[in-house]
Amino acid sequence: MLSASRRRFLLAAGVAAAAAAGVAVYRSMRVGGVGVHLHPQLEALIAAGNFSADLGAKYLENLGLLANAPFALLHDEVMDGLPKHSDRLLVEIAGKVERDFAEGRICRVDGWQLAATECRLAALAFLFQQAGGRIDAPPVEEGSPISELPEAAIAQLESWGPRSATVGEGFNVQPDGSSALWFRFAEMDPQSYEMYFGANPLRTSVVPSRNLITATVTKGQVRQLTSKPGEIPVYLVNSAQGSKQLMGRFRVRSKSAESTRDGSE
Amino acid sequence: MIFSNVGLGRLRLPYDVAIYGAGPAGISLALALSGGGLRIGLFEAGGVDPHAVGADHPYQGENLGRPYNLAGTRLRYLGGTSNHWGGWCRPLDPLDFAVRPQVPLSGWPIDREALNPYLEAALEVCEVPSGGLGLAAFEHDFGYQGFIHHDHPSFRVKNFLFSPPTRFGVRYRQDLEDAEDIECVLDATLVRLTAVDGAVDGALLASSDGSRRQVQADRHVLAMGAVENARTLLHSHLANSSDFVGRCFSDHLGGTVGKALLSFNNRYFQQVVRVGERHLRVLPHLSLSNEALEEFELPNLGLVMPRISSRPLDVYGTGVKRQLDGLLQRKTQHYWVTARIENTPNPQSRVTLTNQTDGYGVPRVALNWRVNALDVQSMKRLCAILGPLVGKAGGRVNIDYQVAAGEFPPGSHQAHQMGTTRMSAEADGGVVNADLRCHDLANLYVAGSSVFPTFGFANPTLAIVALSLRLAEHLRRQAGAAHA
Repeated sequence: MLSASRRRFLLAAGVAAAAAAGVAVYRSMRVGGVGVHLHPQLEALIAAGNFSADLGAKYLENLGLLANAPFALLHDEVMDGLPKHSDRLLVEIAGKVERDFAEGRICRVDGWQLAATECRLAALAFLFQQAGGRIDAPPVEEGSPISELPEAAIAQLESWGPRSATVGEGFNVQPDGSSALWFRFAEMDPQSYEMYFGANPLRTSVVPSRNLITATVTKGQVRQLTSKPGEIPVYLVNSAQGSKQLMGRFRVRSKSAESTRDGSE
Repeated sequence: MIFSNVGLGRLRLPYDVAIYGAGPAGISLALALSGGGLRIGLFEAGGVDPHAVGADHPYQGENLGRPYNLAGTRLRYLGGTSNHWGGWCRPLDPLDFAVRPQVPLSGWPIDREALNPYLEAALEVCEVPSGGLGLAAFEHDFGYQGFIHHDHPSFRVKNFLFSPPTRFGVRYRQDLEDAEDIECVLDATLVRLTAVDGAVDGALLASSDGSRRQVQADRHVLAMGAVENARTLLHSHLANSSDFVGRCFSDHLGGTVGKALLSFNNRYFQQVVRVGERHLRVLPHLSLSNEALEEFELPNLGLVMPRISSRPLDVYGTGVKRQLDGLLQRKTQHYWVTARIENTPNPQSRVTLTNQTDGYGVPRVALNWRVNALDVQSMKRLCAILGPLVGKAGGRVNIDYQVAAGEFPPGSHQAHQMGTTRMSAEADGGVVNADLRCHDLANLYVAGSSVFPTFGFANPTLAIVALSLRLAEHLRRQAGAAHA
């Protein structure tokens, strides 16, 4: 009987030897109590976080297969038509995904129209994770898009408020503790509007019949945004047209300024 | 000159041409006629400023079909609806003028080529910068790089350009004041027309002070918008031997239909491009080639994909973005998908009259706005093919489930009223002929988008102005022939 560590050593040595000989050695896993095999390069791609286990779970759930997914079948369908030995497996997969779209092999997950192959890959990622495999998912990085939007005249502003607050304090405080801004316009077209407080999108409500927009600044946002004196640009963003319009600048006053304020603001 | 608050007693009758409605159609027609030796009357029901839209407003009416804001979408003062125009400009495509198997009642009695010189002139009237390219700017490749390109067999890029926007009542008020051959009369509501022997012999005007006056003119032009043009003809019992007056009422449908993740250089949002030394505001629309539209049995359409500025959780919730980034080994961005799709004429979608009258004694309208089942199918088909088309190009789309099920996006009318006095070659197929003259009457014309037999997906103002400029040339020719 071989010890577990000896088995691991032999397996690793076998993988190395097989790789040197250009032979793919499939990883054996147990999924749902059943022994299955996983293509080594595919495993590396899954482990590197190229595919989403969350998406895979949704896909399997839609199919009613969350509890008893056919790993081997999914694996074979993904690998079908792909070269068994390729150092460009991801590129090959991307090509297969494109062919799926061209040939109408589409699946839908939460409204997304996706290629069948990418859904199956996501399902494999989910099953890999369920079997104890580790996925190093890269963090999602997003820049602040507001700065990239072109300026445009979106709506004619008549008035807005409040226009200032004291450092660290809320303004026009609502029963739930959030702060609120209001904007009244001469007229408004029915469009997709969003208010931005600096680079921060706000929860925005549009009342077209009153040419009014209200925007909520959460307690957390208030703490962050009014932490020091200064001015914060406030933008109206037309999401449909991808443009922004400066509404004004919100002033954050220092506490000392508050104490000497003469009320003329 | 402009007569404001002077009543109707000062009119110097008769006119060579009487135009009812001082919006983009009426003002551009009057100014294009000016200087040609004709006496022109231009009658505007409102004043120079808007007045509140209350329950007694003459534009209030009854909705029998899809919800429609009858009073709020129309403006009854000098400049008309240009006063809330967003400035979006694009001519109708050559395709829009053609007979198409997938669009019932399609086919204009004129083609795009016949309109081209007037469209070029309309660009100037609407103050649309084109970087010196003229009409070619609407199809120009402003350096769009990346994925879906002009050369792609299924796709076309269709640009919108922008007017400042021109508020016709403000921009051209001084010109109207200065034109000695134009009498622009405010507070002059057209009540009805009368006709004898196949020609209009009088138009009854009413003022808010209660005064009334009959107007005589050699030629009369209705330019009051698609609802009021039909309302006047129905009330006057004129020009309706084909029974098309008020029918085929339409407004462009469209709105945000979903989201997209795109890995490529998406340029389908409003941007400023450089043409030589000039900067130009342009909004490229993603559209399909004529062949692809026919193959997929779709009417004309355009998509824009502006960047989603906030980060809705559902974009990330399923991990689609992360997976796509991993698969393609490059960062994707998420965008709205906004579709503008041509709707097809529906004779059951119509303006009729009610038993209620407004303060001038004119029957109020009932609007039964209906959309063809074909249009619902078109939107569903577009949504269904978007996934594969964009997917092949390296993007993914997520269509709103209600839209995918055949609902149009909420609030999806654009205040582009069209179709109620459609143009047709034969008298039994419409209300006006290719010269915009009513088939039934020798001297009554209609200007504006009510004459559009089909509607394209472009905003109508540029085409409205072009048709008015073309009509001006026709009227001058006619008047010249009559004088000779």
